[in-house]
Amino acid sequence: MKQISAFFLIFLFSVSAFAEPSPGSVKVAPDVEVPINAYGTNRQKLILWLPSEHGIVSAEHEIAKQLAKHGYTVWIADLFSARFLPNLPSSLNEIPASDVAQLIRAATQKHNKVYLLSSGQGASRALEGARLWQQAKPRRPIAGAILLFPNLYAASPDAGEAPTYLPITDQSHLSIAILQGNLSPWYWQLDELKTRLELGGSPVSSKILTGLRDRFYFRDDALPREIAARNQLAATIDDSIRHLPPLKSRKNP
Amino acid sequence: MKNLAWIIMSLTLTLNGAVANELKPIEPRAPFSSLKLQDLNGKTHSLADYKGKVVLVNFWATWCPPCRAEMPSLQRLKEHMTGKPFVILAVDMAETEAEIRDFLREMRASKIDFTILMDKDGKSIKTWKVSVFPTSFIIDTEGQLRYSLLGATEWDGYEPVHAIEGLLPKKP
Repeated sequence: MKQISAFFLIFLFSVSAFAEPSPGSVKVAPDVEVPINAYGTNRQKLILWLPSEHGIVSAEHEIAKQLAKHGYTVWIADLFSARFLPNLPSSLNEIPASDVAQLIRAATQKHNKVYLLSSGQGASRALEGARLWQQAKPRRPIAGAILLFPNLYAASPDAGEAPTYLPITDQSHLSIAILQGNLSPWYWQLDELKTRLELGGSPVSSKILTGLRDRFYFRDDALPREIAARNQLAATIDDSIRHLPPLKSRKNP
Repeated sequence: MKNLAWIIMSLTLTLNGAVANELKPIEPRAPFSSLKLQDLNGKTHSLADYKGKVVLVNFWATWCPPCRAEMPSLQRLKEHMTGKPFVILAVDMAETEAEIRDFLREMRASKIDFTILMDKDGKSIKTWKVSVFPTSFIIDTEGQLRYSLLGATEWDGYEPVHAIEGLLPKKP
């Protein structure tokens, strides 16, 4: 019996030694703890998944599980719940960039390579948090950002007017990969968006997702090809991370 | 309690359904950008050829749910305007002819027969700076842009019909 108990304790110890413990939550402000759903046990590579204007959706948990199989730890950070905000686009504006920066700090403490991942309007909070984190001149940089159909417009432009971009668009200094469906008005703005990001010092790669609409992986009216693409999204993200363009160093990010 | 929830839900849905996008006057009036595209039968249409008519240019795509939703009302508008100098040019954005024809078959109950143009390479999307689908413009008989609309609407509703009729030549 003693031998069995000893073996069990050794087993438990070895599991806890090699598995990345789920943080459960990360404190980002005196009274604000961000709930974290963690997937995977990779100690090197972590994807920090930040909410879009739709909050965290259930499909993202499934994709995170698949990303774990590709060798990543994924933290899904529910920034909305942390501040008791509803899943509404306006809630994004209530989340300070410092919340994201604090999440990045916690992530980089335990992982060598931290990638940010967000979609739609969530891209702006991801970039703003990254910039704030970079301004603290951390020893460990952010490895890159994966932006799914990013919306970095300051507002919906009037008909016939060129879109204006949020200031963070040309203030970012990150290696960025954009995944954009071609069945989207934003597809036609992609070249301009890349130019704006690159002017600010962010090298950008882009992958066109043919036959897909924005929000394809969580649409209520998803088409069969969009459901198929959702099932492949983890592999697509992994591929984008592997092909992130190199970041040139800059003195003042 | 259940009844109260049902009433609130019904009221919410009713109010949501009543919300329609509104035409926005374009001030100052501006000349339209060029538009020269082929229709589904291979005939080339140039916007310049429609001077003297009020033209509704609608940018749409079959994969865009609001675009699809407003199509029947565009057809009803066309029928309402029969005999008047008014034309609809619905510019499909970078889809294949087969995709458009499939859509028209799906919508056969609405008997859509207004002009559909194909922008195969998306050039007009950039020229007209379309960043929301659908986006519509109304051009007066002198070739001036007069109204724009982001998103879908019921085109045979009072406001669009009133605005378009206000641009038609006055009878002597």
